[in-house]
Amino acid sequence: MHGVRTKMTTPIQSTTQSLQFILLLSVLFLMAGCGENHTSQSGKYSLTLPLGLDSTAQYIPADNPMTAAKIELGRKLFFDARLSLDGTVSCATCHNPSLGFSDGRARAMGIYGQEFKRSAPTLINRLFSKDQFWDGRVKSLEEQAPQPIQNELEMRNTPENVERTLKASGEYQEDFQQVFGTDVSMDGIAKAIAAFERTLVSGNSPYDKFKAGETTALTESARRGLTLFESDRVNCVKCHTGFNFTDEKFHNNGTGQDQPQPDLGRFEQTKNDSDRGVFKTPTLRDMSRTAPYMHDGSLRTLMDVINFYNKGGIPNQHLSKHMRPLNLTEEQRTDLVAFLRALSGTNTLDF
Amino acid sequence: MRQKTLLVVLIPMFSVGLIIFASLFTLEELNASESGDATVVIGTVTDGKNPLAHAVVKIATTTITDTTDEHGRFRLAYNKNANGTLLTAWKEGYYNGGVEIKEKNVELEIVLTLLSDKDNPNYQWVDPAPSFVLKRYALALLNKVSNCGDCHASIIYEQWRNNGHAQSATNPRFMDLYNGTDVDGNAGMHPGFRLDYPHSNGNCSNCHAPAAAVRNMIGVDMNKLEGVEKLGVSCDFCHKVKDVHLRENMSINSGIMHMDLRRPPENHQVFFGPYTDVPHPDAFAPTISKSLYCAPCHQGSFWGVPIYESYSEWLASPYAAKGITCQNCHMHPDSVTTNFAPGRGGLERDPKTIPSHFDFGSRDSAFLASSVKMETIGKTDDDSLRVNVAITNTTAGHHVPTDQPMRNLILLVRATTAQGKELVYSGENTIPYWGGSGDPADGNYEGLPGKGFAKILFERNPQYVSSSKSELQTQISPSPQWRIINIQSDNRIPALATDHSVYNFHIRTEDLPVTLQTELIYRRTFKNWATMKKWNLKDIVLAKNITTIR
Repeated sequence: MHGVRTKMTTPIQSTTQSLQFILLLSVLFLMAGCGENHTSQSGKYSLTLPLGLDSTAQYIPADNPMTAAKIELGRKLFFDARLSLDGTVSCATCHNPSLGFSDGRARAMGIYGQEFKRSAPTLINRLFSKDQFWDGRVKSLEEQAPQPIQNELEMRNTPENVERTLKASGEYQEDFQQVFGTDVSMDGIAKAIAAFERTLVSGNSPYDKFKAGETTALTESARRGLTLFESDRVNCVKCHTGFNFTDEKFHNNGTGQDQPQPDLGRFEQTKNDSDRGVFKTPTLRDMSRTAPYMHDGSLRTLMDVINFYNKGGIPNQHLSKHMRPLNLTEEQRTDLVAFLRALSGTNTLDF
Repeated sequence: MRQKTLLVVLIPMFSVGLIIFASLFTLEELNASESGDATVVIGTVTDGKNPLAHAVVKIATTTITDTTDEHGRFRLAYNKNANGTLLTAWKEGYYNGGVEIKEKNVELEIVLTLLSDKDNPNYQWVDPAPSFVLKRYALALLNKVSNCGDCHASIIYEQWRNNGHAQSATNPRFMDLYNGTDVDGNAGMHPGFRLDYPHSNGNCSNCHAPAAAVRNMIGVDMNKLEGVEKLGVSCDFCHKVKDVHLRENMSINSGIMHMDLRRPPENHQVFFGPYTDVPHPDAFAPTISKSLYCAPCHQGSFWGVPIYESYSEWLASPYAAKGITCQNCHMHPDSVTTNFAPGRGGLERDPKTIPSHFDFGSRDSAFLASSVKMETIGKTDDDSLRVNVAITNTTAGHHVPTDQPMRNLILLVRATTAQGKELVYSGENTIPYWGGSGDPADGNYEGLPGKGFAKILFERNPQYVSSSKSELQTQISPSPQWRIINIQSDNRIPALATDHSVYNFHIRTEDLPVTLQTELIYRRTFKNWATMKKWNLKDIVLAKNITTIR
């Protein structure tokens, strides 16, 4: 592992898919390990963001400052299947770095091969979001991290058992003492994982380079796609807005609402009628790596996503008023897909 | 009364077989009444206080049965000299019961004891192996439960001892796959469950060491088994399974999770078996003779992907409709055993009613070879030799190969001249990579004319070793079933189905005569796995055809 964490400076050329994939892998590890390059003597950590990301939008709770040691601990925990009851499921099982920190499945699958009702969302750029989960039921990554550990479909563990298992392993006491000055604790586990997750950022995409003035960074098709994306007529930016392509809000685009017993999303938390079928607007960055799409993984490809919006989503009583048929030509739809592909980050080389 | 009972018996009988059975029963009654020893025995089945309706009453070892009416009454005609004198009864939820018929024309009462409705987790498993002679006699004198082999040594124990179930927790190849070792004990040799999940004991024990798994479902380290738990699927374990209820098919619900296990309370004993006529502590378990009984371990999904499918393959086969079960073939009576506990209270029986415990499987080459038939037809046409091969799964009630996905078949097609020169192959079917790459003399057949039959698993996406290191798993093809995998292909041959394939060779007149050889081999694991593990597994030849093309 340490080998690939060495700073790389070669710019990515346009290469074959598979090479890109391998680079992505190395790159993700670089991202994860970047802290070491930015640690001052005091252990204070400052995250240098890649091109296109807005450093003023970072959300880091005051009680969980980033430190290199904490991030390293979080990384270790992230890949440790001992968080799960039977030692087979780690965070990386569903948030696989090689798959854009998702799992390539329509619906996530946890311990004992149990299927979850929702898709595993990407962990990319969570640094900029407070609300977590598809339904936004928690307000920080610190609150989020313990939930899958205890969910019976995901890791089915208890905080007591996790603490006991990690202590018994003898591999964590020192880390916890160093980072938190405490013994292994669920609170510390959550904080360390949250800190690690905040380093999983993606930027420096062809789109970012284009915005920065590199006109050749986007293909013509992708440029036309960008124009459509931002246009009043198509208006993807109504929700997928800002540098991270999300308004950090919740909407009903109809996904899954035609099912016999639809997942009602945020309503299940808030019980507000207006929240029926409402789910979080996800970032579109690195989207080409996180298929299949939507909270239920019902759309297999980026073209399926565009076709979905083109027909105005799935009609239901609470469908967002911004959803409507778009009447896009085939070329326009291809252009939008080309644009979405151009949101895949290559930032990691700057770390 | 007789008529009424027959009617009651007949009404629920739909199958032709059972109706024949019922008419046999009246014939026996007739025979009995014609002979001098003919007797009618009547009585009541009770729980000690109240009569028990719908109990099955039987003259032990015979087919003479009756079912009690709502007053617990039965009536049987039998021949004392021919049929013996043990009268037995069983009812769902009770132990088998029995009384000796001592006098003629006396009303008999058969008292049945209720089974415990709870499993006793503190029960100590009975050791299968025969105990030392002195201990055995001492136990017999004290009327204590002795080891299984003490009474069933010469037959059932010996059969079981050498079968796959007895090795399920210690089989060296299983352990190599569990630990990621090779035949020399070197660590870090893929495939290995513990290499991919270094901090998990896995759910292997749910089937491979079920007696331990019931103690600690996710905590059993297969390397740390002791005593009877180490003896795999042992006598006492299977005979403590009262019933099977298949739960949702997912990896937690493997093996023991589907079983209704009834270990008896302290100072009690129970053995579930296929007989209603072996009295206490035995109890009839109707499921034990059904395919469903095998399903907990011969049907299972991991990570949402069906891995072991023998049971569902059987369910979908014509055998299921015909009522031909797993046990019918894999526990086929050895046709010589007439008593499974000779000198130990066992009764003489029709050998056809005593299932063997060989549990024939992938270790029995003759049994395997009997499952398929291969036909080879070679025809010359101008400059080509066209070879048609038809492989039929003639007798297996499931796919061939089945169960553990590493089992595979390889068909080798060779056409050689009298000088031993191989004809140039112009066909498309070749043996896949898992046939082994390297010297064909060492059994590496990749790329040769022929075909491979297997269910191939592959890793759709790279996964991380579930450890505290962010380390990608070593890719293995075909992938082991414990990984997060998909089924890439499955061309195994279903029950009674035939696979047809064609192989074309270039042939010139001067090549004739040509010897055409087709050989179908069974491998217990993929050649490339065997190479990684340094396992020296012999190919099992299932069929071989040699013909001369003139």
